[in-house]
Amino acid sequence: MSNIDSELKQPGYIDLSYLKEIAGNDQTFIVDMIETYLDNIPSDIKEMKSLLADKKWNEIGDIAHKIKPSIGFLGIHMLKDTVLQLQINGREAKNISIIPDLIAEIERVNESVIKELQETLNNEYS
Amino acid sequence: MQSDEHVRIFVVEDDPAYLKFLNYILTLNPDHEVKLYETGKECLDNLHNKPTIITLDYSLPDLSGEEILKNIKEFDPNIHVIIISAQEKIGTAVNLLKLGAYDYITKDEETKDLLLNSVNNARKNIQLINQIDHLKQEITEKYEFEKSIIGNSDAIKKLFSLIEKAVKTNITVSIAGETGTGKELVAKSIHYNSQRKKKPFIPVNLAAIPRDLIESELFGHEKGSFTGAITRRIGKFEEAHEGTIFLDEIGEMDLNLQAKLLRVIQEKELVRIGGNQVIKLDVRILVATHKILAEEVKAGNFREDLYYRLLGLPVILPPLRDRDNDVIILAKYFLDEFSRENNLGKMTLSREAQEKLMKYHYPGNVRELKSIIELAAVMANETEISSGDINFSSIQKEDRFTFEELTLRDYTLKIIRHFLEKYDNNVLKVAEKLDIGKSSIYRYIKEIEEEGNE
Repeated sequence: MSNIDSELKQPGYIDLSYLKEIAGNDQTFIVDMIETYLDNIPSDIKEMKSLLADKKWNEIGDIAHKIKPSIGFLGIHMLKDTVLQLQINGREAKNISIIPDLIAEIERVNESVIKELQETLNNEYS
Repeated sequence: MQSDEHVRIFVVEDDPAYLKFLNYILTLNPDHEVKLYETGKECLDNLHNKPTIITLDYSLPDLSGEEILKNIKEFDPNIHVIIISAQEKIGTAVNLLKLGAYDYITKDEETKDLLLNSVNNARKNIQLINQIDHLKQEITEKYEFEKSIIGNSDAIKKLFSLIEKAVKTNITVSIAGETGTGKELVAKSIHYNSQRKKKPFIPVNLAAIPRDLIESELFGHEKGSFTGAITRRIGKFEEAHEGTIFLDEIGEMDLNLQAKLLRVIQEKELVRIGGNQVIKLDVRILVATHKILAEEVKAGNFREDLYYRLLGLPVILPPLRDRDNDVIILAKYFLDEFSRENNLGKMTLSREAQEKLMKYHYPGNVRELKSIIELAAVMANETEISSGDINFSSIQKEDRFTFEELTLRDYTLKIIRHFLEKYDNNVLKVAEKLDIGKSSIYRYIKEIEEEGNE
């Protein structure tokens, strides 16, 4: 079964244990949450990049705040601190020099996350 | 019963992932009808759909959480608002709870359990509120004064017109009357027919509270203000905020406390014992006494300034012996009530029983009549109560003529004394009732007076 596969797999970027705990056997909810991530987060990151050019730090902080729960739901532990720091730095307009790096880090991890989510959808929930 | 279980919940949340998450966990319970809104404005525009509970994200793009909360509470203070926020600042939470939020939950791994718990508690709370509203309505109906104060004698009609005046304003009402005339009933009728009927009615019987405790009972105390004050206590005045306090047996209050009461009434604020916070009060005051307060003032037992403060609209309750045919109306009312409560079927009073009831002078007033009737209903062998079933067991000595053996002369004097008291020393009336000449009555009065001087 594919379940055994995923348990034996190397730890990846995502950790769906929290969602599974909430949803029990209800797979539609998990699929829904994954699709919501795929629909929203890439465009949110794109928007942050364009705000970067206009130095709209506060708005960047707001978007970071908004994507924080999604990072939590899908268990993307690697990005937790990064997103939180981006939120704080953006909203308080401090240490703005590292803001581009934080966004780049999120974008980099996100690319792998998207791949992993798509694989998960195909393997476990199709 | 479905309407009882059904709960409409608005979820206001701009983050699509979180919106889905909240929707999912709330719809796990089929009683919940969940509506989703992404902006504060959408939520406010739909309040007319009457949500019972709203979960509100603190930071929405269009309006601040505080603003939305205020608007919701203005629309209907009974809507339970649960704030869900990623902000973890205690100050924000405290502020929102002060503004009337029901609960404050942060977004983390425990949100699901916390939220479901909070919603369940809110539902219980709402059920209680509904129950209380229902009971309040029942009480209001019970104390419509035409229903609760029975009788149509002139004395009672006068009382009705006074109560009607009393309910229209917040004027202090001082109720005087013998024991058993229904002082508390009148106080309740005034409260439950006034503008304040939805707020608390707090009765305090000053004669029933130990002297040392009255002050803290009335005005409350702070923790540690005296030995035994292990917690803060809210006093009766604070409990009655926006409602009515009924101070029964006000004549029993000692002079020190009278001074404090006067200050509270004048300043419309109080400070708990051992505290320093000034608490504003909006309390209507009703007082009652079986003593004649003006005489207590003369005797130096009651402060004159407080007397005038409390006098307000004086209502004097007539003793039952002055209420003519009300005795029979009340007797029938109590008989119906008692036989209904005890499944005795319809009972009636014989003509002789009615006559016997009319002749008695009721030192214990309506309360005494009620117990006489209840005893008669129990004693009666048939559905009609005979005069033999009516027993007066008044504790006043004058009635127990045959309890002690006396000479005929002493019996006669006792009888004369009793009738004089009953008819307010009206010699003509006593002479008529006893069917003897009024000069005989005067002679006996002289004898009684001489006896008293011995």
